[in-house]
This record gives sequence, structure tokens and C-alpha cells, in this order.
Amino acid sequence: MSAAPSAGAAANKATQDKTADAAKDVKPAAALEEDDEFEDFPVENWTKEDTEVPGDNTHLWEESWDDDDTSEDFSAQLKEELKKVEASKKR
Amino acid sequence: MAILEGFLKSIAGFLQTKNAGELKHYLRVEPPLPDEFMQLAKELKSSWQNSASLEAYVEKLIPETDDGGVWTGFQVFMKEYLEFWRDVNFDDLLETHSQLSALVNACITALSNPTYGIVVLPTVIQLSGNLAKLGVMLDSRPDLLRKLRKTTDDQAEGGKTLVEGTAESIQRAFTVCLTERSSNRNGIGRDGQPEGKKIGIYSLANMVLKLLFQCRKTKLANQIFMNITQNSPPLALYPASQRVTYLYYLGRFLFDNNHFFRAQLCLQSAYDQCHARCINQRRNILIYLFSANMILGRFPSRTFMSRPEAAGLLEKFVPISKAIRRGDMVAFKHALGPESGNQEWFFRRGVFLPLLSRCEVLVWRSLARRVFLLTYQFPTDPQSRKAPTLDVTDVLAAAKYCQKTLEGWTRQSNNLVPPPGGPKKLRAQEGVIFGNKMPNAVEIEAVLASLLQQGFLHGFISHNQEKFAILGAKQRGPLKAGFPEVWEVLKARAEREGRNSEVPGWVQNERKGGGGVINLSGIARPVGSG
Repeated sequence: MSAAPSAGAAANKATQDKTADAAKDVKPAAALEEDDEFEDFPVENWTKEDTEVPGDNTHLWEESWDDDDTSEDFSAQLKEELKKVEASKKR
Repeated sequence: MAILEGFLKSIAGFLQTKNAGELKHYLRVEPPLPDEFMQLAKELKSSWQNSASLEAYVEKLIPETDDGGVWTGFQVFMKEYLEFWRDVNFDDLLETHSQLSALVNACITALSNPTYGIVVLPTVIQLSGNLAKLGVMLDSRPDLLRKLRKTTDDQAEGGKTLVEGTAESIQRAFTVCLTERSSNRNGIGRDGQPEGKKIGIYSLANMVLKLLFQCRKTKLANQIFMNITQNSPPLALYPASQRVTYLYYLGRFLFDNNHFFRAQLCLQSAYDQCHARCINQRRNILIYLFSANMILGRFPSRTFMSRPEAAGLLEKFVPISKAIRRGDMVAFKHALGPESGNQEWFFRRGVFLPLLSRCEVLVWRSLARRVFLLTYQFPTDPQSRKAPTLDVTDVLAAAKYCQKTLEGWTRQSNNLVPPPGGPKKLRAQEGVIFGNKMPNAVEIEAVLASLLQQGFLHGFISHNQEKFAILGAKQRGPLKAGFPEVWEVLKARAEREGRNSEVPGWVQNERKGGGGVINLSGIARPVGSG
């Protein structure tokens, strides 16, 4: 029949090969991964309404992010090392 | 004979009525095209091999008269256009590129006529777009370019690549548009729109920028941004697609030159103005917007989790921000190292080295803060006037732990022991200080002094006592006083230096009189100073 289905299959295979090493990536991202290039826009102009996305748009960035939780593993490991320094200071 | 004759008569008619749109429609080159173009090509091949008689025929049917809107530059371009169709072979992409370059150059020369040139502006933009597209396509075909290199080696082309040459051609058109003398002040017409050829500034600039980024000659973009600063009407007067594309490239240029604060301003504006459904463009903007903001101490929030353009990106960036939060140097090096599986991707997108070298400073700040959290004993006497301190030796112990872990040491009965085959060999950027160099007290004191100088620590260092002492802890508490928030520090500095409102290359207001000279060149500065 038409060549379209087999061409589609070939394209799919190429996609799989390309992203095989990045198996962790979710599917839509893997598809996006292929086009690094900043594409030309399909339309010339649009309104402010066209730029609006659903959901909260006011809080895009975290500016206060200091983490005071010292119960995780990295802090536990540091504690061990700091204890030794403490001991040597007392000596 | 009828096809060429009819074609040229139509063209003469469009010039007479100044119908730029129809002219552009007739002067196309990029397939797929209606059959008429193929027939025109056939007729040119069979009957017009002699260029001199072709030229005479063009001059006969499109004669230069007083009010016919015809000028010599256009006649030359027209002959060039017909020769293109006569000689073109779309199977030979290199030759097509060279023929199209010649055609674009002739068209730009026609454009430069101050009285009549404007009528070919849409044609110039169309043909330049075709040429740029072909240039980018050829750039990804090293098999073809190798052929070109062989033939141009002897001619000593000054090492210019095909893409670079293409950018240069189109830049000529950009300059013609930008520097056109306008009757109204600032190049803005009575209708409030860019006047005359100035309407073409950003379409053409964006093509050149795309090509310069493609061939990694971004330094050459400096010229474009400087000229725009001095001669362009405000960017806001141009269509959204041109605004967003331009701000994307300007943001990337500033990012490449370590001007992260200004880069963030451009990229944020590009992102905000981008069409909600243009995922490819939004995603490309986000890569640099995330990177610039992280370097400035701002991390993407959960808001992005629901946005399709951020899918796959957050997974790459979040391990970095998580490591910065904790001051976990090991996790930080791994988030950008080969272990992450993302190193090559970061590198390809041009953000690897900036993230590694700039965010590392933020990790050091958090590491110092973490050690303080783990070692500081709050005074039992609330009236105590003693300043809270952090021991350099404690930070050193933490740094050594990180270095050892990176080298593959493991904990055995509470002691760290090196791996049986000796420490893992680390490359320069993979170690805490430099490769396998074990940190010492002098280096750690230098790191703390550098953090202090950049405003990320607040207090002073006593070299004799090997301590960092926090100032102002009484009012704000030792953590808030001693370790100010990175974004607050960098934002305040940008505001002090006036970098928060004006961005060179981004014309936000109408020009008032002559512009000054603005130096855009990047100078190595402390983190986030851009």
C-alpha cells in the first residue's frame, strides 16, 4: 500500500536509537530532544492572551531555598567528620 | 516565448503600482512552487542561454523611465533572478547556495536605492530566509562542505565558513534597513509604526543571529546589537514573533558573555511574550532562563512541573539546585558530571561550563552554612555579645570529606579509606579544588574570603584564629545575618549599578538624540555579576 506507515516506523526506530541512552527521560521530552534548533514561529504576530498559560504564573522562581534539615545522609556524614575535628581540638 | 514576456510584464506592472506583496509572490525560489516556475525555467534554458540578450530583453520589457518605479539595480537583480532559474540544479545544494547568494546580493543592492528600493524589501526578506535555511541545512552536511573546503583552500578565503559568509550577506540587508535615513524622528512613522525599510530590521537581524549561533561565531553578533542600540526604533513596535526571537538571541549572547542578570531580563521577557502553544521555542528559552537564574541564585519552582516545555528539563536541572541547597559538593559534581547522563547535553547547549564554574560558588556558600548549622552552639547567656563564628578547620574537614568521596573513598568502621586500587583519578573540574588536590586550610580560607568579597557571607575573617565571625547576628540571627540570600545580594548589586532596567541591544524607548558607545564585551567577573 502506501509508503507512509513504513516511513513512520523507520522514524520511530530512529527516535528509539537516539534516546536509548537517555532511558530515564519521559517520552514527550525525548521527542523534543531531537530538535535543538530554535524554530521559526509558525505565525507572525499574536496577542497577550495567546501567551497566557493556565495555572499560577506569579511564583516561577524560588529565591529563599536554604535547606536547614540536617537529618539527611550528607549532613550525617559531615557530622561524623566534624566530630573527629572536635575531638582533635580538645586534645 | 510567451511565459518570460508575460512574467516580465507583470513585474513591470507591480513596480509601477508599487505592489511589494505581489512582487515577492512572483520572485520566489524555494520549492515546492507552482508549475509556472518550472515552465519559466524550461523556456530560459532553451532560449536564453546568452546572458547579454537576456539582459537586453529585461531592459526592454522593464525600462528605466521617470515614473515607472524602475531603477538599474532592479534590472540587474531581475537578470540575476532569471539566470538563477536558467542555471539552477536543486540536486547540487552547494552550487545552489552559491547561486542563491549571488541573487540575494543583487537583491540587496536593489534594496539600497533610496527612492525605489523599499518595494523589494519583502523579496529581500523572503530570499534571505531561503538562503539562511539552505545555509543551516548545509552546515549539517559535512560531506558536502568538505568538497567546498577543497575548492576554496587555494583561494584563501580567510577561513570564513559557508554559514559565516551567509550571515555576512544577510547582515548587509540588515544594515541597509537599519541605517536608512528617515524623514521622521527616530524612524517611527505618523501611524506609530516603524518607517520605510526600518520595518525589516528585526526579521533580518534574527536571521543573521541564527546563523552566527549556528556557526558559533557569536562574538560577531556584538556589531548587530550595538548598531540596533544606536539606530533602531523600539522593539515593542515589531510583531511578537520577531520580538521573542530577538530577545532569545540577545539573552543567549549576554549569557555567553557572563552578563547573567541582563540575560535573565531578556530571556524572561522572551518567555513571557512567547505564544503559549509554541513549545519548541518556549523550551529553548527555558534552557537559558533556568541556567541564568540558577547562577543568580533563583531556582525553577514547582509551577514549571505542569508546563509541557519544561518536561525533561527539570529532571536535568533539579539535581543541581538540590545539591546547591544542601551544599553537597559531591552531589553537585555528579549532577553535572558524566554520572548524570546529562553532561554532554549541558555541554551541547553551551551551559555546562557556566553552570559548573558559577554555581560552584553557591555550593561553597551552602557548604559553609551547613557546617555552621552543624557546629554552632547557641549561647546559653542571651546577653552574650560574642559574635557567632565558623572554624576554618571545620569547613576544611567538610571539604576533605567531599574530595575523598569524589575520589571513591568509603567509610569503614567510622574511618574513610581509599579504594583498593588507589583514589579515582579526577580531572581538573571534577575535584573540590583542582583534580586530586586534597584541600588545605589556606585554600579554604581563600574560598571563604572570596565568598565574603562577593557578599555571600557577611562578617570578617580572623586569619590568626582561623575563624569567620558573623556581624549583625544580634538583630537578624546568625544564619540570616551571616549567609544572606544569593538572589537578594545579586539583585541589590544589579540595582546599584543600574543593570536592572537598561539592557544594551534592547531598545525600550524612543531614542533621544545621538547614542553613546556601549561596550558589550565580556570581562571575567565574580558569579552573577552580569
